[in-house]
Amino acid sequence: MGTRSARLLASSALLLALACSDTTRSPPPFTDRFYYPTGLAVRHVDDAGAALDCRGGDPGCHTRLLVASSNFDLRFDSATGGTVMDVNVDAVLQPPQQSLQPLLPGGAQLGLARIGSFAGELAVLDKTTCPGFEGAQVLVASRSQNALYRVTIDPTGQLTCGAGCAVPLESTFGDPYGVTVACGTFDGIPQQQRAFVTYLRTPNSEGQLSQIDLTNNNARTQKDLGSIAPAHGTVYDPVSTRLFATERFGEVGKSPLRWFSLAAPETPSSADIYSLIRGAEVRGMALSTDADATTSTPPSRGYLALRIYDADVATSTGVRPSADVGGALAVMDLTQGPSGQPAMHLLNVVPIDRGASEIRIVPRLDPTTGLQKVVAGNRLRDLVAVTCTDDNTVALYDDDTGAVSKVFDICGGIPGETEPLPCALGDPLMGKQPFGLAVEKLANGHARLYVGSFDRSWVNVIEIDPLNPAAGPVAGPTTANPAATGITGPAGWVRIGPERQ
Amino acid sequence: MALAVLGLAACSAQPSVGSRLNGPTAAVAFRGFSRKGALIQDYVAVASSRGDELRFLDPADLQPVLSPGAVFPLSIPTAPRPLLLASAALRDVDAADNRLDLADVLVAASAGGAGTEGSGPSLQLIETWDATSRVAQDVPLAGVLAAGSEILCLAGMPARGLTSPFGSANARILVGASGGQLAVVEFTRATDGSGAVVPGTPVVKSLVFDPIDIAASPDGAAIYIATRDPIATDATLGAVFGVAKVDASGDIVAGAVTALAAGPQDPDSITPGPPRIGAGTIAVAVPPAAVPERSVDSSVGTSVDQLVTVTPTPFVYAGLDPDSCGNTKPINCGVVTIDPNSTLNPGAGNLATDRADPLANTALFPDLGPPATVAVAQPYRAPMPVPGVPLHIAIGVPPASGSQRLANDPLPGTALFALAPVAGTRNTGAVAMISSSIGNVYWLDLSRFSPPSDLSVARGSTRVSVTTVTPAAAAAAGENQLGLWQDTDNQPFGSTLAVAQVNVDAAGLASAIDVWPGFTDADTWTLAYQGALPFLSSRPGLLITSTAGTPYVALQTGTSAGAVVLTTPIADPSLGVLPGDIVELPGVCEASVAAVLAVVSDPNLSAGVSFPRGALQLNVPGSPGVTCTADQLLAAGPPSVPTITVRASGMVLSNTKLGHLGRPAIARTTDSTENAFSVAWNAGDLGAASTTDALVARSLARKARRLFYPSDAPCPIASPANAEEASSPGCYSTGLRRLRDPLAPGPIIRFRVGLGGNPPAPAVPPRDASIVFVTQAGLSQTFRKPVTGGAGAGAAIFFDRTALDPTGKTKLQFAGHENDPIFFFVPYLDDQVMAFSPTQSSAQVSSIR
Repeated sequence: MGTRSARLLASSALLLALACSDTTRSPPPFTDRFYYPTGLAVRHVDDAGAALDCRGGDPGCHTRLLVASSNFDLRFDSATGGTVMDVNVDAVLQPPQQSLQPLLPGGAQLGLARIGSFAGELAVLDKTTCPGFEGAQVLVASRSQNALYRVTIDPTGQLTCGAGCAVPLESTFGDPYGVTVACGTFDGIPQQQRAFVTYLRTPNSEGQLSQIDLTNNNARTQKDLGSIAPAHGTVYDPVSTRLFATERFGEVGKSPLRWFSLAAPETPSSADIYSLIRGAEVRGMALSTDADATTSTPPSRGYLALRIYDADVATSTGVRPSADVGGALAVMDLTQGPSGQPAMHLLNVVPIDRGASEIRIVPRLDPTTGLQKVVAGNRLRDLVAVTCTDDNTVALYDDDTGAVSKVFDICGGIPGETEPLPCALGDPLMGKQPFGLAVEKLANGHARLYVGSFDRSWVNVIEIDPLNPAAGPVAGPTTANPAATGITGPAGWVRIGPERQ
Repeated sequence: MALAVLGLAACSAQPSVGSRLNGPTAAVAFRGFSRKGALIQDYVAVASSRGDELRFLDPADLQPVLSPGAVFPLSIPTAPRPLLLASAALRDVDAADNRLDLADVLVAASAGGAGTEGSGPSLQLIETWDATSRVAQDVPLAGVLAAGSEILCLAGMPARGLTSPFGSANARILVGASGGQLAVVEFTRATDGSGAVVPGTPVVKSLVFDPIDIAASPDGAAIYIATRDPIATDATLGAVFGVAKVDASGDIVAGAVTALAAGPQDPDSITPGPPRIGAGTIAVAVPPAAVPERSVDSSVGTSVDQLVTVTPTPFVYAGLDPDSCGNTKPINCGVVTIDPNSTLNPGAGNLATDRADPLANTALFPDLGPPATVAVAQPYRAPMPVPGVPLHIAIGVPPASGSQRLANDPLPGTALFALAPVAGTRNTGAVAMISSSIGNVYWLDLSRFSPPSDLSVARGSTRVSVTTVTPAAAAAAGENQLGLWQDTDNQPFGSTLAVAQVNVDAAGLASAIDVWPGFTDADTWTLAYQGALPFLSSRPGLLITSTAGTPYVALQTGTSAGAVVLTTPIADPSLGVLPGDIVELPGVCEASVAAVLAVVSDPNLSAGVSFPRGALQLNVPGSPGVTCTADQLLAAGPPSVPTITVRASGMVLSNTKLGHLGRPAIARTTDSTENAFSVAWNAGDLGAASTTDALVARSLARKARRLFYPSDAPCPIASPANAEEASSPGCYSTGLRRLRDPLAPGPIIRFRVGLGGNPPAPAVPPRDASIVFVTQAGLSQTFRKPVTGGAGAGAAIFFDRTALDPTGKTKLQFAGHENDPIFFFVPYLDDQVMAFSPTQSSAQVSSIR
């Protein structure tokens, strides 16, 4: 009896010891696929892998897609479970296209770097985005590590995140998310290279940015935007050197769009979008393409992706309701007023779906000139794409007509649609929870939309004609001739990456 | 007992299952059939955009039509994203020319207009003629509209006027499309006896502008189209912006297009580009009949409620494109009133005339203030203000019958109905409901050409007034305290001041400031001596001297073309910089402005230096007002980058919304006309200007435009609440003593600057001595919103339950509603349709969810 008790005791002790072990480690992240992708960015390189300002399809112009995976469910190690992947889009789209499994064919994946979890937006740092910068990097913030990662991209597309790659951020703030690169003459000093990082969690819901000096040992400066709401993302206008900051809900009845200049010290200015559109929360912002540096004319319009919540519920509870009741795209007048500041008048507002997230300008280029198309003597206004995460759609807003031209909604609208799967009739066309968004201008005047499906963990590639957005996906050079290219999917509509398992 | 309750519940005519709307974007009323009843009746169709379907609502009980299973509302699946709806009655008649009660045409269009990917734009015809309630057929417009076209707006209209002989029943659906196109689809009744509606072959009228909104005249003879684009070019006045009128009395495709300018001519280069007149529009509506308007007669205390002047023709109401209006543009923003029968003229475009013009109508008693300070009326009716962007307009008129149709107005044959703002019920002939970007639906009383107010504009504590004043600091020894003259003709009621005096305390200053209903806005004002001009304090600047010794400053960073950022258009007249003003290099020295230059063309400037937004030329050292030495101002070499403040040379008035508001002079005598200062509208707004002074004067006139037309009674007030109101003239309170009729034009502000103790010239107050005061406008614009939520208001639709059916009979559907007021239905993106009546209070707003 005593022996039996001793054996039980020993077994229990062993089990207890095993249970208390801290040696169990999370598995490493996937290295061959995306996993809850967030930030997307497109860059072009030449034959030698150097950054190049060109259009997809131009001779010697190669397309790279950078995708940040967030490890959203912490399936992998929190500290290194996120990834950034460099994808050779040409290899994905060039015939013969591979079958669905795997969807990253040989040669398509150029590089991968591990970063912290909960990655946010991506920003590319090379000579096209920051004149004077040597080499190439991709910047991304990790909310789990409260760090900004400066991942180096070599000419072959290899990504490395070695010593000094992770730049610590402000310890008193949390959840760094948005990253924007700004380069120019600031405070009278030429050739400044800076990155700005937003924080979603700050004391008293203050709007806070970190300014990282990319040329000076990552020296960090805090920029206080005010106490109404945390900053969500930023967008930079190199002509006026203004940095615009969108927001997360911080206070009932306030929705500030804030901005300040980098050319000279300037107190942040603010426009309350809530007073124009009740219940609005400004998530994304894009600037019109009509800026002209030679005449010091900044962009005339700003496009805002708005999430709209129930203002009455927020007023009665004091907190933002978890669900949106609508979405909207607002067009703001940024023309310079007598004060020298943007006018910030509301010019138009159109309804879009719920969960408005990322917003990008789709160039409307004349294939011949490579410049924005001119019709009847008038330069076309911009086409704007917005991901609407909650309703699984992507909306195209045509600022020339002031209306939504197209909503990429559910499968089944495309005659003869068979691939890629899964896209059953009635299912979301884009992959559930479309979030990350990148746009590539093409030599034929078309544009590619890269839309990351957060939930399904793939990236949809849609080719559209920006001069005829209502037509939906169009046949591009790689899909116009299925017999020759081997692409059997619907024209201009392909997918990168397997579905999340 | 329980069984009995259950039994009763089961016998209910229709259980409430909710409407289950999913992102409603549009609504339209139509008459037709559904499975709710065997007889034809009225419905409201709602485009449930996220659900890719339509719902039908019964306007009698505000309940949805149910599906066959009765546990869900009826769904009419459509192509993805239905965004637009339109309906029209076909006006059927029998062989004896008697009207028949048959179903209307109802169509839907999806985002961009394409029903399916790559199919091109089309209309979806809904089956209204039987209870099947489905998409009967697609009416393709591909091949009719140009390739790549998108549907932008829809409207329904009868094919002919009511007085035309009825041949065959038909109706038209108008489709505004990108690329400057108006497609017309005519629908006729099927001859097989099914009652079906059959589309004809679409035709397209080419326009030179993109339609944004469409409205048809009540007689069907004209179509009005809102557009942001120029409609035509007038040989004298340039490109015409506003509303296009298309002659629809015959063949629409061949119908003439007339441009109706929505505003005056832009006199010069403030709006860059070629000559133009009018402003772009984004919404348009026409009432079903001419609107009775209030009388303008200050001798009649009840004139504001005497709706005795009928507009000569139904006016056209249009929401201005925010991109082409505002106080730096030729017209303010809001909803304009267009007289389609007017002649295009540079001062007004085609806008209706301002009925509140004392010069044109001597029955309107003018401002009693000093003549030099009095405003004159604008040559056009001021836009009616709408907070936010006016996205859609719907017009409601009196109910067709019942007790809510008021026919006891002095104007025979003109019916009215009641509006119920919080301030009290007013009768009117028509109301416009404006869906705003904010999410509210704002009211406009078309009989009084202005918004109703929930507060009194001119009476009581809420009226237009100066609410608080911060006096100038007490004078130090040897200095003079800044104050304002209290003149004897505007002293507070009950005061017995025999001789004007200078007030320096807060209460005295408030009573010395004249405000004006309909002109003075809520704002914070600053009156300062040599104060910094608005927006021009401590700005990054550039100081450079030409090789000929001429110094310039500009508010910019960077010097050369392509590298200049953070510019301020220093010569913009709204900034108000004038020669003689002071340029302060803080902590260094001061210089005076010799010239305000929009363009600098000095060959002696260093090559490559660029002033893209103009510059100030400074007087050289030794000139009056220049404390800078030659070393400080004329240093050779590269430009310096000082921080610059531009100060007024004397007194300056400004406020937070409008910026610079002029340069009052100090008055030294008790004469109330001496240096009386006002900011008042004048014709300088409309004229060409070339000199700096003229440009600044025009900028000030633009800031002094009328904001709205008050509808408070003239003096003496017929039912005074106190002795003050019973007095005449000047029955209103402090700050309004020179006012006899609130409808009269007036200045946005008026006062006389004085100095405590009234020292003789050249005594002045110390630099930066200032009086700061706050004003309120007295306007609380009436609006409605859902009780909860209310995000993304769509276009409102008007509905009258008392209207007779096409055969002239009472509609059985509305039994028990014979005395109902009119209603409006407004779809909201947050899954609800708001139903309300302007005759009822905000507590009676219903949400259909």
